[in-house]
Amino acid sequence: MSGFLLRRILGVVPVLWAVVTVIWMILFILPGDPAAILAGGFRADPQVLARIRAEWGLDDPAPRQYLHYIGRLAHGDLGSSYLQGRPVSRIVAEALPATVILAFSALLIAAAAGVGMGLVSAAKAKRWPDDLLSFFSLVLISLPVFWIGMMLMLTFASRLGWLPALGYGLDGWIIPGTQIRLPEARHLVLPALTLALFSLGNVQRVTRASLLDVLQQPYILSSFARGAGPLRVHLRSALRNALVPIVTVLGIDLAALLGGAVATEFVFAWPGLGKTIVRGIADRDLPVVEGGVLCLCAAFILVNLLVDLCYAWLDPRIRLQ
Amino acid sequence: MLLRRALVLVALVVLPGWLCRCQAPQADKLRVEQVLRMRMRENPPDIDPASSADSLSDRINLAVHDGLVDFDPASLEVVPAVAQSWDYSSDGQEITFHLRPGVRFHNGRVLTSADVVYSFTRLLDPKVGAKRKEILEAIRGAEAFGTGKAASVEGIQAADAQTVRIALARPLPHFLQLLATPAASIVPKEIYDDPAKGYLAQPVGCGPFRVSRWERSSGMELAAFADYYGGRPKLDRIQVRFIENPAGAMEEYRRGGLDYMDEMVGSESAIAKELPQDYRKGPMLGSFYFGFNLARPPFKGNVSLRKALNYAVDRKSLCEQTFEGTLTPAHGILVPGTPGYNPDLKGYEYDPARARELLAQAGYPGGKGFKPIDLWVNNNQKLLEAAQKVQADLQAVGIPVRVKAVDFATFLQALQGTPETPGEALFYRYGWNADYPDPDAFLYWLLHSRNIGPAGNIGRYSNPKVDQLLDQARGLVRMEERIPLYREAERIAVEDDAAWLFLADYTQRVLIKPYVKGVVLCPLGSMRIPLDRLWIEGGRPTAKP
Repeated sequence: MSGFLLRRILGVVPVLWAVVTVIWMILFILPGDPAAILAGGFRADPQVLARIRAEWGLDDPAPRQYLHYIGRLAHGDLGSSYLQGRPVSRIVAEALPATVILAFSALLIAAAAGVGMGLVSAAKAKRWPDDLLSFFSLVLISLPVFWIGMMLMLTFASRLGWLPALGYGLDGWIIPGTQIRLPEARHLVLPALTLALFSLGNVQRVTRASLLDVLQQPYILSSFARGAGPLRVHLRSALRNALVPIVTVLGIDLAALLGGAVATEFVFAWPGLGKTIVRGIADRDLPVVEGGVLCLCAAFILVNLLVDLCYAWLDPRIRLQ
Repeated sequence: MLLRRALVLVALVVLPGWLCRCQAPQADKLRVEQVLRMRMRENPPDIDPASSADSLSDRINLAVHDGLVDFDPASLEVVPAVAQSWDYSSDGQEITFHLRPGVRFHNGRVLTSADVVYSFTRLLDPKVGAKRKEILEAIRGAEAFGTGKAASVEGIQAADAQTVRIALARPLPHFLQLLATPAASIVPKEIYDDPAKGYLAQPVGCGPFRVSRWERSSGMELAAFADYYGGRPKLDRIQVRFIENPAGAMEEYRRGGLDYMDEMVGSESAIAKELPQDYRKGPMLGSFYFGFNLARPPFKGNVSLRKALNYAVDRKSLCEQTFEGTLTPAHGILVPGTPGYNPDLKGYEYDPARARELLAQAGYPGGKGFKPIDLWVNNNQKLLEAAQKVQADLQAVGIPVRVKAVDFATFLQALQGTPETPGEALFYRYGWNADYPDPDAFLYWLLHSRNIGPAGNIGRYSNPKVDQLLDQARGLVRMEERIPLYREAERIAVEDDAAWLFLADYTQRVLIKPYVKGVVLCPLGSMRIPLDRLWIEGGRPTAKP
């Protein structure tokens, strides 16, 4: 087990290196001068522009800038934001909790509702409830997150006025001993639901398929033969064995939710990492973009590792080699 | 089993209620507060008045900091602020400011003339790299200090704790107006000299509001400064929420989550109809045009071509249809409300026949031989629509144009190029808002060859006669003597040289809830709405004890 973990962690290093290199190259060739934005846009003073370029090393040749960047990363230094002048690690640390809270809340909703819908679909396979739920899932998979978010906002915030439309709320509880402020619960509902709907369809479809597969197994048929009720068979016997593909899709979805929260964060003014990265790209605040993407990649890799560990827990026949 | 079902039922009933109500104020803890809730697109990038150069930062800086003088938001006259009065020397080149006694910074310290000397010297210090140092460049000794030839600025002296003398190297009639801009704010040395940039954590000024909370990713809160020299503001707090998505912000405003918005999404006429009590419109000292790069062909040295473009565009329909009357057609550079605005300037009427004639004179009969040109705009729906309208008008007379919409950073680079070479964009949208109500705020920065490049003359326009007129006008004190010179400079740039494609003048539009009282729209921009004069009719119930 520890050998497996060590190998996986060491394997992460080249992946992260490749990711940061690709990100750096993309940002480097992207048009737009960070110095111009830093210097105040249209009315930038040429002297100020020159000073900023020199200060941030933006005049250096590309290989030197790259080596400097990798050298900093190797020392655990994500650099400082061009625009805010603050360490990127602090900016990322401020934004990450909001994204994690949003992604996990969405995942919980998607898992609960998606598995529930999948169970109903499998139990009523090829009958109208299954057709209806499968159609609903297909619609959810096809709809853009941005649109879902705007529709939820228009319905529950603007029309009905039940929930706030935007933001994190200013009065959330601060976790003692940290700077992390939790969102006000009512502010979390709409963005979490938006993201959950994005994932829900996938979970329902995979749960349905996996359950139908397991329900064909002889031991399930023997359970029925012994007189067990359908609910007991579905929940106790079939669901656990159907969980491996469900956990896989939830793992993939969680990673996608962490990264894919961008649109949701934009729609709902959610102060997370996705919004920070998008803003960084618009402002050519390269250290912030690099640091944010690096953090998301690390989260993605961590989630994959946890999914692998979950496999072994769910199905003891799977050994972590 | 029954117990489990009961628990699930209870959870289903209780949880939504908790989600909706757990943060709702309890009736017994309610109290009425004066709270204004406003939206800003994003976190203000730079709270340091010396280095900020954007409207978001200016909005916060104007609430947190004060300068020696200020603008009256309605009349735009210069009025006392930290300085209660000032006298001129007999030659008009030395101004003695008498500071108001008992002005305090937010950290409790009393402001003295040493703070004024520090703030102005800091602005001119090349090590600080202030983006708006030009506002003080007329001060005697500023140049020597900026180039390292002097250790201090000769023209800024503290006569005593309450008196500051500023001597100018040359007359500058609008110098007081420059001192009313946010960059000339007075800041405390102990905060702004902090090498760890203490002001980034806790900005300290002497303005009507202090920053009581600042979460860079979600919002900030400004609290009334009880010791403000102008009297405690009527508002207790201002909640500023950073909402980037304008459509979402509009919905939030509609549902009552915001009291003030200065960016609207959708049809403005529909919004004005939907929210007639909230929609406010006022004049704005700003103009909108499409610029030419005069350093490169095809516009370089081809006045006929530039005039042809000006005659080809139907400004009236652009303003009425594309901008729904929120812009007004421009005939020149100065906008109505600016001293020296010339209502008789002929400019260019919509005349496609004349445009075709001039196009032939320019060497492109019927557009023959004219290579399609890119019209650069930054991503913005209205700008894109405007560009497409101009594109259609130009194509109708035979000038092929491709609209190139890019993100703001790319647009900026295409416009500015590098310090050595002109930008890639030959034809581009541009806008200019005056920082001070003087013809100089438009004409000097946009036309003088001294400002070629990012300082303002982005099109690289150069005409020695215009330079001379502008310099001459800058040296005169009396406005009635200056105005003829400015009018002549403007006429040359518009009618003789067709320096750019003159399009429209901005107006200011904001949404403010009718219960917000004391609103004064300032033609210098919505960030200058004086927040310390606002109050909420009836207050707002809050849960704060």
